[in-house]
Amino acid sequence: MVRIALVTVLALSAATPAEAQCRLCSTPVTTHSEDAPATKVTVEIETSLNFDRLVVLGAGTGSAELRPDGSRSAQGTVADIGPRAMVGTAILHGEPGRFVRVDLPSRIELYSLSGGQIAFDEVSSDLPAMPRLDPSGSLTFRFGGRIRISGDADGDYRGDLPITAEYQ
Amino acid sequence: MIDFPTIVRRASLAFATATLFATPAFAVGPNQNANATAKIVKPLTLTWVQDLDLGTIVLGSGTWAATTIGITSGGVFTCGNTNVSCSGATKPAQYKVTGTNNQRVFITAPNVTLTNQNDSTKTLQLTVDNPGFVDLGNSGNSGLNFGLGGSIAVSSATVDGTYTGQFNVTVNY
Repeated sequence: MVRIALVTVLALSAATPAEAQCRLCSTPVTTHSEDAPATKVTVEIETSLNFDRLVVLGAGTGSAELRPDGSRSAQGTVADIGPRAMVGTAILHGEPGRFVRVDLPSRIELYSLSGGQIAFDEVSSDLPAMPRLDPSGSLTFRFGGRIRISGDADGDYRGDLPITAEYQ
Repeated sequence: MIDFPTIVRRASLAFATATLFATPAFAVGPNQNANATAKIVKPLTLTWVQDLDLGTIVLGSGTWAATTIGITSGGVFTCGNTNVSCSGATKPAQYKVTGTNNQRVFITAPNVTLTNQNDSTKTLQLTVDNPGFVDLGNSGNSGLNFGLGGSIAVSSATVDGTYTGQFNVTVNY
């Protein structure tokens, strides 16, 4: 009996102590490691938004709209939208399969060299509700909006439409 | 929606020590600006100012090949060869276009068929001399005149009479 007890004690003393889990040993991060992107999502502008030529009758108010599907409409004093008008096209590049969030401003101002100013609003795109980069890591979308004109607004107008994209 | 910086701030309050070593997330991509452009113009107006006139052309006797009588859009008149003689006042057609300043206006004017007023079966082809475009410059609102010339070919076989026709002029930005 005594002999057996001694063997047991020796065996216990020689045993390797079990390693306790250390939850603070690794560098903590605020995202899941599998979600950490290796590359940024980038935005490439393939086509700028161009209303071409808007023929405006008189000095009242009017609007011209270019929708992401390419359809167009003119109202009020805007009599015609030029035939070369085209919607904007952008391409996102990033990690394949990642969901992204794309932000477009709801309204910007366009300015002419002579100091004129017109509003560009109701910016819209054909992005799905949950945009996702395809297996090749890209996503193409189109965007459009509405120009609102009031008064005598002859001139060439231009403005910057900032597009921001980030992983979700 | 909670944006990512907010999450980082909350994490730092709860685990102040841990966040000292935290690697910031690498999510936000660079902004990219797309250009939005529009050219706003007034509608063009086109009004007649004067008719084209090649004057009176007297055909010589005998048999001879066609020769050309014409006037340029700038008003320079030419009267064929010695088989014809020209007289009377000549002038190019003129039109006035108004629109938006500093815009180029393109002119379209096809050739015109002139019809003998005594015999409608007899015609002459007026080849139009078109400047192609005019630049409105700062006179877009007040308007700018432009000329249209033309030339005809006559021969000893041409039937005499008064020939008339109508220009079909269009302008566009």
